[in-house]
Amino acid sequence: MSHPEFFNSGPNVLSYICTIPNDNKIKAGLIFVHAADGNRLGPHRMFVELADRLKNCGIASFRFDMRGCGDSASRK
Amino acid sequence: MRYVYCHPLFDERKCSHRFSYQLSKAFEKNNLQLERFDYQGTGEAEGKFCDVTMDSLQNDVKIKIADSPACLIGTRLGATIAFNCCCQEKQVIKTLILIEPVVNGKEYVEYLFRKQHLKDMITGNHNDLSNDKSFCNLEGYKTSNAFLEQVRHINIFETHNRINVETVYIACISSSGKVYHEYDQLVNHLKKNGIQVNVEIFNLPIFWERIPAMDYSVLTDKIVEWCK
Repeated sequence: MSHPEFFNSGPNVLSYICTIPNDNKIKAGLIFVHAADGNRLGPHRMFVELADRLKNCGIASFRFDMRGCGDSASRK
Repeated sequence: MRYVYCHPLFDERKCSHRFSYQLSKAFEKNNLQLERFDYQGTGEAEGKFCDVTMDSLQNDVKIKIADSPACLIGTRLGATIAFNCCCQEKQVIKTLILIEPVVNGKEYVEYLFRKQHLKDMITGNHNDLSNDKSFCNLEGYKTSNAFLEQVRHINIFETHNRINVETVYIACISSSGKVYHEYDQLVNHLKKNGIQVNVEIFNLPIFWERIPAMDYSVLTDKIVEWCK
């Protein structure tokens, strides 16, 4: 199970999960941006499953919760 | 004491995520820790949703709490899973906090299908899952019929006699200010079994159905108070 980490975006602390290919050989990187009412899981967990598949193809992915969504704080 | 949160499933999990986040922050403010986790095949956990069953869900909770004294907090189907766990475990779960538990599985499944039907009508989807009759599409989740059959058989009034817990709190989310008849019944049944039960009404929107940008502190603060 992946555990979220956090990064600062201005005054807000946002949660994210980075999925890296097992052999660390990254062909490309992808950032998932969820809809306004969503979170880093994506609609019906689509981002999680896609990130897992992409990992096996050498593609790293970055999923994050926008401020005020999911596990991200919203200070402003 | 450990405090473990049981998420609901389907879109209710997504919609109630923000509530669980605010609840964990309310716990932090009071120097308590709320453990949120994902069942196998849900959220960030490994596995596929099509493999989820009531047994796997309850087993995940069982593994999570291990043998340590715990307070289980659950929303909707998560509350029902927590309730069922209390019918199996002995002397491990001390307190149970149920937020709008699903008391009648048959009605709940019918409700899920009605919602799916509405979405299908809006999007023009034909709900086809490659003609595989063992699964159906519920809110975008490939759901096994075996799991749905287990959910249909949920009837808290048939299992409450086996419940082994000291205190139960029921949070009823109602804008009418009235406790639903089913919860009244449940309270009476549990009291007859010698369990201390408290039910409280919260005038909040149905947050597991949509994602309101709102402050849940009236509910989260009360839950923390119950846990202290």
